[in-house]
Amino acid sequence: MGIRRTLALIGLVANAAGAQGIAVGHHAPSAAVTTLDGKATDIKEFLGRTPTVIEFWARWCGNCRELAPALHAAAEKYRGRVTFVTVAVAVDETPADVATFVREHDIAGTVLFDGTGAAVDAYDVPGTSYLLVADRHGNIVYTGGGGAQDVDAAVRKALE
Amino acid sequence: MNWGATKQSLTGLTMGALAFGLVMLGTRPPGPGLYGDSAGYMGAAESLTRHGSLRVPFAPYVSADSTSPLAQWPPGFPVLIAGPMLSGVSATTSVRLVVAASAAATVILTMLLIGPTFGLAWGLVATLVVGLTASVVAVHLDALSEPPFITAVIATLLLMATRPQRPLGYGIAGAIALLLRYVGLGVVAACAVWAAQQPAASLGVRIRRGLLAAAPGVLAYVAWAVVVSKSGGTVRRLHFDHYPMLTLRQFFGATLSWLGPDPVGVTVGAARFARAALKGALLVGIGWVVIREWDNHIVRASVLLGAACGGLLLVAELLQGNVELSDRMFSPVHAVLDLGIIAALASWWQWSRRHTIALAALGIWGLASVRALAALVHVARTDGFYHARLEVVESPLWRWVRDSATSLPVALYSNDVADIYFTTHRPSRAMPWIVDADTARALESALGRQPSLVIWAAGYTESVIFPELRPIAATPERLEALLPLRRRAVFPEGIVWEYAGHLR
Repeated sequence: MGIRRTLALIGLVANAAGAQGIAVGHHAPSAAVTTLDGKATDIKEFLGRTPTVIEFWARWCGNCRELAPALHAAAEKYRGRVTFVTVAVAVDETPADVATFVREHDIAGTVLFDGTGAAVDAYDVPGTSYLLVADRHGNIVYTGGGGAQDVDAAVRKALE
Repeated sequence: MNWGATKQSLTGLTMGALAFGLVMLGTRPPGPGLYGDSAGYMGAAESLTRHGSLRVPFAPYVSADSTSPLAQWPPGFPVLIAGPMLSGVSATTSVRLVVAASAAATVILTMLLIGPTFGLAWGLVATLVVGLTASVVAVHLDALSEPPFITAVIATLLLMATRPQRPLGYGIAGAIALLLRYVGLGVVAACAVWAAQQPAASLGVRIRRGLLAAAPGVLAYVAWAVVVSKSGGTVRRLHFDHYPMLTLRQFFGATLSWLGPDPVGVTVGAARFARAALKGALLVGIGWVVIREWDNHIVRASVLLGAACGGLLLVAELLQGNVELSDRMFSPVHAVLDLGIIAALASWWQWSRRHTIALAALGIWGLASVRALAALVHVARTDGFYHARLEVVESPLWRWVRDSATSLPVALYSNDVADIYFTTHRPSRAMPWIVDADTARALESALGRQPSLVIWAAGYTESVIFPELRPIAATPERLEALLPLRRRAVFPEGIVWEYAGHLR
């Protein structure tokens, strides 16, 4: 095996050791986050009453921009029946940056700020645009990433 | 109806449409050529369309923000790129459209400048000469601000030549040039000198006209400096160059390349001597014709604009010394001097009988240019230029970055921030070029602020710093020795590290 191929393989193996995302069937864990005005809260506050859609998001995330229309459509369609939460990851962002962005753009649901990375750790988030849907008992029924996710189908799973 | 003018207009429009089409074809993937400046322009345009502010997608490693205010470049080109992006096209497509539209406008303005004075045939010759100038063609294959700048300079030349008594008109065109490239300060200065040179009743009138011609450019520059200052940046500052001989060598290299593009491989022996002799003869011939036709206003205006821009580039580089004086930088000078030379030639043609010499010189220059352009276009269509090279885009390192780092919830640091932007469309912080104990402490403090990934492109730092700094340049070995970095992925083209302080 050539040196280039060996090195490339080392690269692939090293990458595979990264975060994979929390598994479907697990109970959505609690994680300390803050609101955009700095009040402490926990993701679990948004779980367990209705199905919940949680997106891990950043302003710089291209996939999140792609996913936004589908999330909006679902938030409109399931208004009052499903809780939508956007968790802004604290990478190159401050709560003030996110608050300004949220004022100027329509972001689906409640926007929280993961200032310490606790939520990213608890949910083993592999990347921004990582979406997970929990049913009304807080059990995860869907996880996925990227800008082309079928949000409506994911929400229907939680409503079944 | 004036059929001559109509025919010229129709020909100009047709040639413009042809130029637009050729540029769109020439910049298809793997094009357009991408450079560090391209990342600044395209990133600022994306920032403008998404966040309403002109910020470039990179910052120094110590910066709390991963973006910086646009200051290194004026706002014109990013604003132009943002236009088509508002209709939903990507930054790359938008750049191609802007560059192609600039090419079309340049061709039409060339016809409008030369055609009415010297006739349709000379208008076509001028268009062909500009279109065969290697440096001019090269910048139209890239995502760079030179094409719209060339258009603005030629628009200024047209107004200077056709409406010399209206300084505000060409002053505004000069201000637009300045908002596209800082070397447009030379265009503004040329406008002021041209206005002051025009016949007038008194010295006071001349001075007033000169000031009026300079006013739009000065106002535009001051306004931009205020905007930059308010956003926390600083416009370019000058400092003394430590490499004057290198600067002069680059200047003469770019000039000789304009006089006769060298095919790849011809570097030694008799062929090289013959080419140098031909270029010398061409330069003497051009000088002779230009001096003889100095009374022609197009000749004078174009030489004034070319000298002002070329001189400013040389002086700025001698004072600042951090930009290579390449063919690219001189492409607007070459374009505007092309037009002056063609105007001189067309004027001389009317009374001279030595047409054969002129035709032979044009023919030899044209053949050399066609050969050089064929090689240039071949590279553009097969390999791509610089950051757009397939060898880079398809390399395992940048594939990994595209697939894995685009949405990774970590801050990105790299010695190649332009490729980070082109690959992920994310902002990143630039790693230090040199690293010692103090730099390492500052870097560690920066990396420790949030989860971070360092993407190191092998050989890139060495390729961009001055040779004498190489012994103290940041290298993977030195960084690993000084910082708690854990290798996440290793490729032939570079290394990806996680900062161990934030490992989960």
